[in-house]
Amino acid sequence: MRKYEFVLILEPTLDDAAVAEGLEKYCNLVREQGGEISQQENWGRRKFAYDIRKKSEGSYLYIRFRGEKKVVDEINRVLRFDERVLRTLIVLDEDAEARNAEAQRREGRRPADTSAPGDSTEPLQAEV
Amino acid sequence: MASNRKKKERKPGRRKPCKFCMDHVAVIDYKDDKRLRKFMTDRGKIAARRITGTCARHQRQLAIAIKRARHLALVPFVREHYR
Repeated sequence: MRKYEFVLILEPTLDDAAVAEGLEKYCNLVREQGGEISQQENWGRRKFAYDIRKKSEGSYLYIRFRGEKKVVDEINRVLRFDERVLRTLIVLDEDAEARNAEAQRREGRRPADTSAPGDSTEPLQAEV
Repeated sequence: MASNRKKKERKPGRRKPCKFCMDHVAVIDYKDDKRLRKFMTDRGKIAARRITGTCARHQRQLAIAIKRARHLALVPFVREHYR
């Protein structure tokens, strides 16, 4: 069992109901294949940084799940026939938020000046 | 350009701090496109380490994160006509 992150981008022409239905469809697919979903999210409509299939925006869906590789294979198979999907990404979930929060908590307890050696003049820390 | 403005004495070997290390980032998130954009040139290229001061470890992670974000159209690919 591994953890995965699954992002898919749907056509901008779909209405909210159709988008929600799409999210359900893929969540159910994961469950049918024996995966368990830990998070499902609708990021809503977003502008693309470049056009995809002549479209400049799309609806982003995000699903986080645990499962065997066959779940991923099945998703990829089904995606081939789903014309409403513009783009997808399935990657191993590295728990970015949780691990960053953890790292911050761990480091935060130390005195503030541990960060960068030789950075006494300007702390550059801005907002990055 | 303002040459009378106090010229900063550049101590040789003074390295810029890695921003990811300073923020204690364990995993660079490809979903955080706002942050990724700060490490790209205005043409959409991945900025070099010597420009941003990113450490080797984080630069490797950053490259992967930017490529994933590009695939999802969260950040642009390199473009000739960016204006």
